[in-house]
Amino acid sequence: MNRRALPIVVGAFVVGVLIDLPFDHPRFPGYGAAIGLFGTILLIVVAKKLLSPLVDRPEDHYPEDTVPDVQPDVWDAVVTADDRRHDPRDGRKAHRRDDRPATLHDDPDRGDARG
Amino acid sequence: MDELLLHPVVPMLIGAVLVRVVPQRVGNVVVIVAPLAALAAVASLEFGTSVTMGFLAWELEVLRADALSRPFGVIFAGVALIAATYGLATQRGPERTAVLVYAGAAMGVVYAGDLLTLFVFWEIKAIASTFVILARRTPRAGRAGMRYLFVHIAGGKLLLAGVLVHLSQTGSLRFETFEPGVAATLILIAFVLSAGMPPLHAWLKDAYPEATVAGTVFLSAFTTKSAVYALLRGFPGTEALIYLGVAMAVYGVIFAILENDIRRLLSYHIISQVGFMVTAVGIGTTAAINGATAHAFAHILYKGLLLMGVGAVLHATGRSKANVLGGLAHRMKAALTFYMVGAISISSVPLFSGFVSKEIIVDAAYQSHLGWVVIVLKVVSVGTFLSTGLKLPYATWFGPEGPGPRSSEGARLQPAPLPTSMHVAMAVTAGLNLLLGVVPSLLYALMPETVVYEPYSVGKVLEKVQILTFTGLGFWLLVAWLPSKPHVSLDLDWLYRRLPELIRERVAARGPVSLPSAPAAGVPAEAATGAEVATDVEVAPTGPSAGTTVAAGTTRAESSTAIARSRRLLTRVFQPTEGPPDVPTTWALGAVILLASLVLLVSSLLW
Repeated sequence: MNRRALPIVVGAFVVGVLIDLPFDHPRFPGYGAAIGLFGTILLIVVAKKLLSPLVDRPEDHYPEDTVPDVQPDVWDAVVTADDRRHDPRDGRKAHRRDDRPATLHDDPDRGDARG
Repeated sequence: MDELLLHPVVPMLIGAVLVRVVPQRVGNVVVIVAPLAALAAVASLEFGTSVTMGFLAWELEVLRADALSRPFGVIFAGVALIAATYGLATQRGPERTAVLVYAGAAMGVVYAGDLLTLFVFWEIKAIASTFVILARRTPRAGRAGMRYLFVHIAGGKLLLAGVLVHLSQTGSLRFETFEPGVAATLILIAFVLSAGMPPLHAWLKDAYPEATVAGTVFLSAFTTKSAVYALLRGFPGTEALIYLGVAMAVYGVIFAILENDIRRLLSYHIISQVGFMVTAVGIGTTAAINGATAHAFAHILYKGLLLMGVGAVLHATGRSKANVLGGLAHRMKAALTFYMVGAISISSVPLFSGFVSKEIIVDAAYQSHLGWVVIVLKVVSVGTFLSTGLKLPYATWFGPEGPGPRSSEGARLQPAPLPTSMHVAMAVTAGLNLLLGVVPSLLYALMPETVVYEPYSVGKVLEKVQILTFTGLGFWLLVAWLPSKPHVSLDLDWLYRRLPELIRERVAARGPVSLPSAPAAGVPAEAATGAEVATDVEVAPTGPSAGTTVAAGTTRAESSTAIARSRRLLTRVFQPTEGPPDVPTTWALGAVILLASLVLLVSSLLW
């Protein structure tokens, strides 16, 4: 939790309640602020603390269908030798759409998938 | 009969054939003109237009134009035009054929007046959308496309069974509101499967992110929204849909928070937003029907825009996973701006399209005294803003590196310049989202019933601003809990992606050589083993070679029992293979599927 943000969030919540007072507010003043703040916390806690431990798996859980970091078949980039020096991860051959793999089975990016 | 030529499907199908045979440059024109012509056809159709034709013993109404079909026809033709523009630089002949047939078939569903026409277009839509996924032409897309096809073929068969039962019970094929019963239940399951309702939703998040950048924009628009149309037509006011829709909205939004792949994250939000529409169908009041239609209309626009924005990132950097993105904001300002318009539209920020459509549904729930639905839907709106408006843009364009350098010189990522056509498509869609938010009467004029809802009041705007502000503050508070790390989340597609493999490994590991010491007591023990194989899937698989050294004599003794024979068959069916299964296995599986279909058909005719 971001401790630096906590006093600001609490302060903003008080302001939110006060702003609502003179207007036609639903249920209670600060209703919108409460839904926003507690809704966010609730969703993040449910997703990250309750659900995530159950469903979180390593990226290659479906080994054949692992999405690679770089998907050259939809990448409209010509990588030059100069670029390659900057980042070895980008060291792929120049790849235009015209170079698309001709069949489903010889995609250069997943060449090891079936072998 | 001449009016059939005015059917909006006709220009789409003609265009679909043309783009396959003409050169690329001419195809660029055809793929734009075909949706334009369809839009003109939609606009020229007067309410009450009906074209019938005889087929066998039945009178089919292949074209029915009324107040409910018009908004869907307009937006389907419109989004086909926008997405085709977006794909001008990337799509080629075969993919264009697939997307035009797909969009045309979705319009055919919308204008179908009878259930047989509906079924035919429904199936064309399923097959054409499979080809849209396959058009990515990678093995991953191929497998995802086939899984998608199997799910949708199953849904289509449920629809057919429901239609046949309906026909035998009522003698009518007209597509109107269904009476509760067996037929209605079968048709309802087919519709909610296509709407992406959990537990029948996994096809959506599995397949949509595997298509090409433009293909995903098409996919996001038609399948789920034609299912919403079909639900609106056939099942308004079905109370179960309220609960199912709310569950759908919550499910999608929570899984989206966990997702790392940005296009998959947005796919989960399709499930969540369609949940709003399904809830509205379940409420079924005039206001709710308007809300579902308006939200479907706006949703197609802003979801298309969101997917175009992240598609632009994928096109420019080759990356779609949040953990390898970041630091792009300075070099992809236009894409970021257009994406943010979509993000604040889906989060229903005042002055954007989501605010004038989603809030109708929430208000309709309030009018129907469904207080819990109102609160849950508002919390879901919070989650929508949290992941599409805050987390995704933060991870994609900023991340730990901040907005990144101003030039690509020395930068970690090298975004390629985007084609003008992509910018034009995104700009037009962003403009439409703003226009509908500022002048909601444009949207409301298209709705099936008169809209009495007034979106802008001090109270509503203030509440929405508060909700969004405090969502942002909550995100700031807990941002450390939302890191982008490489992982996948299990979902129900595990049941058909991993479970068969685990069973196969278990069977292969035990193989024909298990239970070597007790052949006499073999039968009950083996039955227990079989049950264990089916249920206990957590056990780590051992290599298939582990048990093969056991004496062959035991195997022979065992081979006399029927169970051993069935085990060998299982081993063969689930044998790990390089490539497709062998021919006898394929025939056997095909025969089983065919037999099941025949049983379904015969039983539905006997009803």
